[in-house]
Amino acid sequence: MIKTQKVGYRTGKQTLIHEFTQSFAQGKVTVLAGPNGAGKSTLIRLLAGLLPPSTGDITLAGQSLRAWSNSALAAVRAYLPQSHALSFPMSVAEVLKLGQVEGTPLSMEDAQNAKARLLSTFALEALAQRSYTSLSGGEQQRVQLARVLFQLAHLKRGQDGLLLLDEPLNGLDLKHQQAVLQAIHARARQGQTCILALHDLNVAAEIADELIFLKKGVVVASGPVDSVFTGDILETVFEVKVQLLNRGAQLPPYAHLPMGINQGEPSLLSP
Amino acid sequence: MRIRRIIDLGVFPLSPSKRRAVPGLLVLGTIFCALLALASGVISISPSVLPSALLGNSVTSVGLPEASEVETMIVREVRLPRLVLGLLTGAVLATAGGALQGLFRNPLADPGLIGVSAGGAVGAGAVIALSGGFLAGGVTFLSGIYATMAGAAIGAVGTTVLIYSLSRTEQGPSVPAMLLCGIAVNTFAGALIGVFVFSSGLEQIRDLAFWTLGSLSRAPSASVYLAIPVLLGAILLLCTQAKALNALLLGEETAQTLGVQPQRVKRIVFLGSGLGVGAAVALTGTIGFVGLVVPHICRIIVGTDHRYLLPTSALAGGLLLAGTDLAARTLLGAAELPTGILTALLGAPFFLALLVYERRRLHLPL
Repeated sequence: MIKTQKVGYRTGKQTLIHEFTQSFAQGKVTVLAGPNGAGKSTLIRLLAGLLPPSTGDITLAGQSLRAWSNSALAAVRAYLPQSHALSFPMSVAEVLKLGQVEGTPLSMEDAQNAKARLLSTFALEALAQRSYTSLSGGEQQRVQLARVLFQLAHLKRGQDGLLLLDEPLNGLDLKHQQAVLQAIHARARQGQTCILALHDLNVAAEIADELIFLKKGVVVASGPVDSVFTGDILETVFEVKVQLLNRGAQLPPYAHLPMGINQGEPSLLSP
Repeated sequence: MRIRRIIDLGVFPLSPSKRRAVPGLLVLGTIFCALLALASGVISISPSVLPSALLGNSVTSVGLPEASEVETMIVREVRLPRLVLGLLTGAVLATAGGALQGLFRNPLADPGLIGVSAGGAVGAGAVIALSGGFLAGGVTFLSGIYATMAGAAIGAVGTTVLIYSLSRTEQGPSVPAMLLCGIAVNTFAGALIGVFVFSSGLEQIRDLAFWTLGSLSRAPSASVYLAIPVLLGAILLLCTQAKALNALLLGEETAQTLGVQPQRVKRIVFLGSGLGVGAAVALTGTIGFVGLVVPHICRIIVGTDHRYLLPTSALAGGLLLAGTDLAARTLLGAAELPTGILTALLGAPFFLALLVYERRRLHLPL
């Protein structure tokens, strides 16, 4: 459980995050969405404890993030940055192994099993001995995701953990997007708190329990998908008209962006 | 030379089981080189008398021949200290190079190239110019050695911190900025040493001259033994940071999320490499390229994991410098080349090749 209380972040004269108050429930998937420069990455880095808030406070398990030691935090919080350069060639297996934080209770055997599972989930088995720097962008992204999930692999079902993923689907093809989303969903059901920045609204609406729309560092709307995934809110946030197509009661509506290139109106997928 | 290609061929880096053989092979090589170094020189000494020369005449009871007094003197007073000096300075330069390359996240960070050694030389040179030279000996001999080493260490640590802060960008340390800073520091250091030379007496000029060339021949044997704890300590200190350096390859922020404290690691690596390189420079002057070539080749063979890379580099660096020094003092018969000239002759083309092969990846406009 991570809570923020009037968190603000400034660099120089610019305010990147303004009075952000939110509590993220254990076992829920929260998606941060908003236009470029809305402050999604900054917010994720604040929640990861990588940036100190200029104002307000963030508490994890009731304790201010400032009071957490680096190593204690590393045992319960994993973070996927938006870009990841690696300067020296390491094998995929070695990069994955970096996710194992010292002092976490994971036996050799469990670690091997967890690694094998993650390699198979992200279709990396054949690449395990390859050099990370020789992989394509999407393959590197999968390795990094596996590393991040491996970091929290020692948590038992029901134990709280904090997964912070900045654009986890970057560069992934459809099949791997599906695998990643399913893996995130599974971690949430195990009890880990998942906070994602995503730019694909339809993916966001489908995976999220809660949606937070940010614009210029301010929360425009937040809440369960069905209450905030509305045409008005989307137009306010993204400054563009989006058509919402109804897909029935089981699925969130589909956000369609009219390009103005092709003639014709989209037809509703279901009445 | 293109590491990625070589890695994808599947031969290198060696698999963990084969990797274990590397230190053993290096130790064997070092023993062979050591025997050769103790035996050869202007006066060649038979390897069979080496035990007696080193350990005293008690070994003759097991049937080994006895060393003459001259042979004992040469081995103990001249060749052994020089061998130890070569092994340890080579080890410290290579380990510092490996650690700095990890920290700067690029393969061109060599203590010599980026000016760490030059900073050390300026520090040592300043102490010598101010105090009248420790190599002259005298009552201040011991304090003089430590003062020179301290001066060199301060110069080396200061330069490392300066270069790191100047080459820092959002995306990590910038390679061109780092190399350009190195040029500036090296030029400035050259000029400062020139100033020291200009303002010194004849005796000090001779001391200062070898700083720019780099040689193992000038350090008195007592100063070598006094430096052993400093050099070994620096190597061990750097090796303690191996795991953290691995995580730092993912970038400072990501390393922090993995429980590493980047600032702490940086301080320890700066201190360890500055102290080690400083002590080495105080004894041998600036010997270049060992810290560039050795970690690079070791990375190809044992991989990027610093837990293997740093100790392997230490062993290989010691072997390389001791071997180069052996060549430097035996190739031309009685005349002796400064070792630094030989390492530069070997290392500079290697550096150029590295620049050419890696230019695209490092965004170097070549």
